[in-house]
Amino acid sequence: MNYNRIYNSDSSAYIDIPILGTYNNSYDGTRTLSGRVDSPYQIDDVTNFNNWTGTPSEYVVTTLGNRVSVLTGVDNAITNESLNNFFKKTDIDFYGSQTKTYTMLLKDNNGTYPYLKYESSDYRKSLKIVLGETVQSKEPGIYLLYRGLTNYTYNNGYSYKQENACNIINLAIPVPINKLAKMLYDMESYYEYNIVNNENQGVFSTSLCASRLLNPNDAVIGGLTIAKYLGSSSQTHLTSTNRIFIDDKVWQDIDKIEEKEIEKNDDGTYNDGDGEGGKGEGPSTLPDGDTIDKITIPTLSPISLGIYNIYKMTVAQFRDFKSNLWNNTVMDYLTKIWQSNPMDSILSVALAPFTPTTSADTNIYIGGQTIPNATGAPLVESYVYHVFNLNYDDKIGTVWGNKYDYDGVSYTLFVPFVGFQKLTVNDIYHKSLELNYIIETLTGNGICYLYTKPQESNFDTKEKNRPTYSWSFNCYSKIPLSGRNMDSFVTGIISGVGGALSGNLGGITTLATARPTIQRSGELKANTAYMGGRRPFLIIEYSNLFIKKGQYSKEGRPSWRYTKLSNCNGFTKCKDAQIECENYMSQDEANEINNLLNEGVII
Amino acid sequence: MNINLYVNNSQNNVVNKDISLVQSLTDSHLLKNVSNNTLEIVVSYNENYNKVNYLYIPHFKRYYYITDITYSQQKLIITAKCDVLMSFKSQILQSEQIVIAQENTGDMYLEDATWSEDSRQYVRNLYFDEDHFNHSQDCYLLAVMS
Repeated sequence: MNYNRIYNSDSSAYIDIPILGTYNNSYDGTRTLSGRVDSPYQIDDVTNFNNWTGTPSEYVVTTLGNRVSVLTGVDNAITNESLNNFFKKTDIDFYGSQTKTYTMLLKDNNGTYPYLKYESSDYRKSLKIVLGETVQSKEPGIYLLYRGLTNYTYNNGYSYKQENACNIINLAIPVPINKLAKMLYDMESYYEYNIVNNENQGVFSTSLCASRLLNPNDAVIGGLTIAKYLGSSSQTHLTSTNRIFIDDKVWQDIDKIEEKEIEKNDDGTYNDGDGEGGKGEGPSTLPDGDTIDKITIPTLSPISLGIYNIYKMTVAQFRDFKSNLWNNTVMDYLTKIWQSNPMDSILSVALAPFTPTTSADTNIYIGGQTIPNATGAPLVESYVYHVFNLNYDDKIGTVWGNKYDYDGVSYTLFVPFVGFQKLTVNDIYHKSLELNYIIETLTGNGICYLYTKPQESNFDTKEKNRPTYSWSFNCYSKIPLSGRNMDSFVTGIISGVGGALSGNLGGITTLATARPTIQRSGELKANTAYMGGRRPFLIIEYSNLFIKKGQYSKEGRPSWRYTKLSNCNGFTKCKDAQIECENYMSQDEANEINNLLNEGVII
Repeated sequence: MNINLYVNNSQNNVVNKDISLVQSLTDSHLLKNVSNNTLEIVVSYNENYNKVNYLYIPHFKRYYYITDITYSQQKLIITAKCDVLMSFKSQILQSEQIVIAQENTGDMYLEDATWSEDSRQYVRNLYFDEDHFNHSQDCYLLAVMS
């Protein structure tokens, strides 16, 4: 296939790229180039452009690089100033922080028509394209916009537009970025062929628009406007074609992409189906709903009652504590208070997976008795609160652009101290995730809940933030000082009080090894949690979608619209088609047409 | 009877056929109606007609697929079947229908849409931003009755 490859003197080659700037083609045949030029590419002249007479002005604005926005209009009223203003707005649009809508008005001899509407927000952009008189929301992406045919009468060397359809976009076709260049070429070929064979006078035009920022590595960014004019019945026609330059190596890479691989990157379009919603009125009747508050730390803090104290201790401090706990004076004192089990005065010793907020080190205080030479940092709060964030949609977003973004994906969340948890796709997709932990510092018991916040890209724009999942857990690794263990231990100590056990607190750890208290007391779960992963993460499994070559041209994209068939393009399949048998059409012919429409036709 | 002979470059299920006029004839005549929508027409022999596959009969306001051409006594007998799509394209395009599939636009999230998926999966792991429970944060806690 001839891709209009242009060879340099050194045998290197390139393909056309879009021209930047504004073309102003006047009635008198003069042509000026102007407009915004802030791309590494050069403005270049159009090819095969001769004697553009008798036609309205043709404006072509194309930018490359990080600012992509293409407008094409037949309009005498557009000025460079208005275009520049539009692009300024577009920049704000792309980089702005608030939802804005900009409408570019194109004016021609027959009036003013809304052309494109860009809507954006601080996160993700949406695109609304005016198709005829229907404003359709589109997924962010790149679209080729087919404009309607405008017929011209030709009289005394001047043409006059007969219809006002020139500014109306009939079709917006999503363009996979790696297929862009080939599509542009095919489109050009198609229109040239179409014009010659239909022997019409007219202007065919296409334009390209993009509603997202394109990355430098996207390789091919650009637009093409084809405006062909048949000045007379003798079929002398003029051509204005923006040139597209693509480095030959890049083009060869594109050329090597197999159709199947290209089609995998599905930029599927979306519409709301124009449905009537059965007997109801659809989502408009749904309540707005409430934003559910996050779960917060309890306001009352048991530790503030002074009934117990929790100390954060270093290993050295623990050794000091052990050494001094068995001081005869201390143990005698504790035995007087807790006669049956003096070790009940020690609630727990644990390894905690966090650093709590404490005050300065003080002497450890048990049952009203200060343990001499034993210090620790007392905790000031009964609860610890931590939040983990994952802006998932920001990192992946739409994958296939079709239902497999939901049906073909599974999400598994690893929740520290809880384990792997399966999540429902609709709870997660297009939402940022917030994992909130509240841990009670005395026991290590805690709750963890997943708080989801819908993004702008979520299809339901009224969905509100809410806790979606919650789990309970214990995150401490407890060192066995449970009451039962300590009973026997302390009993033995008491019977042998006399200093033999003084300084022998190592017996505690020995005991732990000898008696699997952890298992019996059911604390294994807690200790296992402590040993598990500490940082939450999300595992996403995507189906490997396979779109058959030519699937859409042979089977179409799924649709469910009640519409005039002239609004359709390409393969179109109907359900229970009903053609009225009118004029000279027989019933048999009507039946045959209905059958063909139900099987699928190409419009 | 007037007929126009064409070369049709389109598939049969295309509504608006891409056709190229080869010859307009004024001396043809209808031989017989084979069935409701199939005709046999007799035209004078011309070797250029070998490549035609489509015709239009202005009097009937209908386009026809040429399904067979036979030679007989310096004449060609053309068997033609009506192309209802091309013949009634205006009515078809102006009619409103329930469209369940379209080539270039649609609701890609419809539940009954069908694509294929193979057995392989793409798996991606995403860490949450923070690491509050990093092991460096671990500590010993002693809880006692005060």
